[in-house]
Amino acid sequence: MQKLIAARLLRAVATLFAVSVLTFFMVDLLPGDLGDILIPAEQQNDRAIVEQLREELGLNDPAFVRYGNWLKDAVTGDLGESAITRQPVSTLLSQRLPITLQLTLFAIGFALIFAVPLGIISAYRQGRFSDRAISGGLQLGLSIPNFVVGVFLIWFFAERLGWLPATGWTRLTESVSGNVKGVILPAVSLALVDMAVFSRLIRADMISTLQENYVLSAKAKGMSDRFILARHALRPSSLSLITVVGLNIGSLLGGTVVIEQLFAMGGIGRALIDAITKRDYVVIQGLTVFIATVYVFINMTVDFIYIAVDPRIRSGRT
Amino acid sequence: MPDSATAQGLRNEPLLVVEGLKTHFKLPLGMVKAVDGVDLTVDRGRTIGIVGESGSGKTVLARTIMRLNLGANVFTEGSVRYAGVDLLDVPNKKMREYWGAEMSMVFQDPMTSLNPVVRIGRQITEHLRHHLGLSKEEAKETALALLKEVRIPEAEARLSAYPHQLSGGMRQRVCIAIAIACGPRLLFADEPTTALDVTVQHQIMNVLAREQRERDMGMVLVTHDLGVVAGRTDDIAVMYAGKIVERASTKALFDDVKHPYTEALLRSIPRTSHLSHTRLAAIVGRPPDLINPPAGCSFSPRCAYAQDICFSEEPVLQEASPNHEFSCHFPVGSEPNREAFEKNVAKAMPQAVSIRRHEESLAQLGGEI
Ligand SMILES: Nc1ncnc2c1ncn2[C@@H]1O[C@H](COP(=O)(O)OP(=O)(O)OP(=O)(O)O)[C@@H](O)[C@H]1O
Ligand code: SF4
Ligand SMILES: [Mg+2]
Repeated sequence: MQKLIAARLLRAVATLFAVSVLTFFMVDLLPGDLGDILIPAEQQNDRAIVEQLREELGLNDPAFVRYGNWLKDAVTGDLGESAITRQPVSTLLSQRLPITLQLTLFAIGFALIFAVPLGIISAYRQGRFSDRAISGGLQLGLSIPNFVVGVFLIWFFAERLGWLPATGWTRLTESVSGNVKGVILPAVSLALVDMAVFSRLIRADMISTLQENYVLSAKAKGMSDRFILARHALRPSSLSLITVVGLNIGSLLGGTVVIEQLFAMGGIGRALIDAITKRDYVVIQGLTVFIATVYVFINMTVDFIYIAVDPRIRSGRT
Repeated sequence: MPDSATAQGLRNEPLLVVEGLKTHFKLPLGMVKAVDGVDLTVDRGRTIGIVGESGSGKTVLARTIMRLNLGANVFTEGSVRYAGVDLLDVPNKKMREYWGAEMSMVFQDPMTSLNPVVRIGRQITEHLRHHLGLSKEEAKETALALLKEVRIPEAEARLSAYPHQLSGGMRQRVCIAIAIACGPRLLFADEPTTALDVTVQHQIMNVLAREQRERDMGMVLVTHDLGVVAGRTDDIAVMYAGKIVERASTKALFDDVKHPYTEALLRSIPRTSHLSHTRLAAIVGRPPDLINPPAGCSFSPRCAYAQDICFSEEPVLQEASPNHEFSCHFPVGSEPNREAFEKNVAKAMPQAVSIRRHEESLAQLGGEI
């Protein structure tokens, strides 16, 4: 058990290292560098000025030296600063992350709250009317792009009913209800597709779990169907769901550009797009490494949840 | 529990009376007649063995009686009276009061019939609490006592173990403990030892037999191995292609076999005395197609005594003696049977010739000893 956890931690550290190398050099491969944006266009032809600045910035050092310098700062949390706004990347993150984080958690939360019961009912009533109705409804949800859902929700709940704000994000510290109200519509827009995916996963796994002998044994003990579904079948049916939830949290934390744009919320996604359009290399690098790190941590968490859910993994049988 | 009928017990009626039971599965190819007209009686505190090859319908029979047939393509007919109540008429919800409490089942494979992600303790206590309304502590104490009863060492520690931490034999003991926990009056054991090592098989059978005796349960012991049930049942019903072809007290069946299929099963029991010297006489051919069973006697394509009448006319159950029934046109041990056999050997019918050889090798062995 402890060995298992240690092994997973070690793997996470190794992955992080690989990720940092990859992102650093991939951004490095992009055409142009800091020199191109920092030096005003009229001075670009003045070789002396250009060279002097490049030297000062360390842009002429070999790549691995630059990587070393960058990594040294990065592990202390210093991801450098924007060449354009002079804002440290860590400050940018601390402003944008709460928005994205909240959006992500709400979206995944909404998706799970509906997906799990729907998936269970679908599996339990496999092939019957309720299963077909649920599957049909979810199929519809799956095929509508999330910004279309967003536009509809804004029109209905913000403009027609006026219950919820159409755009903007309020800090939790300013107003709790304002904060929650602001996040509902964008989160629901994001949740719809995930809900369909999660529900299908649960349904498929549940259907195969329900064929298991131990489900029949539980039935032969006189336990109710509800009890069997909740206390015997759900846990073994949730492993692929856990993996996919992890992946989706990762991709949502990496930013949800369209929805952030639609609801005028400046999250990580917007920050990244801005940086890319302005070729703000330091910011691109910093954000990319951050997102990759998030993925690694989520994957590790997923592994730990697996261990908690299935005791067989704990004793190292799989 | 369910109804006063059980409580009063209808004293002189047997615990279980099955009549004309049919279980058919509808498949695109046609109806699978897995159980096709079975009559069966289990008295209180008695053990009946149901024996037959793989695919003869034993599991389907046991599950139909317990109403544990899952699936929408099932068609059931006949009656299953348990303590006076026809279970086939009992609504699903109500069956839960019977399952675990009145009747329960030990399944074939202890590796898969326990939930791998649930601790042993909860798997033994959940229905105790549900049926008997025990508190958590009471249920735990009962579970502990049960584990000791089925001879599980370090019972206390096992309560918090997961199934994969136990050996197959230990798991089957746990399954037995679970099945008897709420004091059922009828216990089904569906090939409870086939998945286990030979050495463990006897221990498990002993645990089952002791529990059956001490708790005075009616028991239906399903197996494909006549050797397993030999000393452990009061009666034996031999099943072939969804039908019972011979039924007798265990002693009568072993002493005076009537049905050729039973005889063939007996011949295939390994006997320790000459186990290493002769090959077992395997039954020639495959079990019949249950969708389109052969006309006449369903055993006819494999029977060493089959004559023309066997291929056209289905034999009905007839009595050999008051507690011994069989369905065959040429019962084993009769003169017509011997004549039929000689005719078939003369015709070089493979299954007849193979038996002749088997007999000869046994005789030779007897001569050497
Ligand atoms: N749900 C089902 N749908 C269709 N056919 C079925 C179904 N369940 C069982 N059968 C068929 O019924 C027949 C009897 O099966 P059953 O499992 O009762 O045999 P068995 O005597 O228990 O054999 P074994 O020793 O292999 O357990 C088999 O041919 C099987 O294929
Ligand atoms: S002798 Fe005829 S009736 Fe008897 S088992 Fe053989 S085939 Fe069936
Ligand atoms: Mg079976």
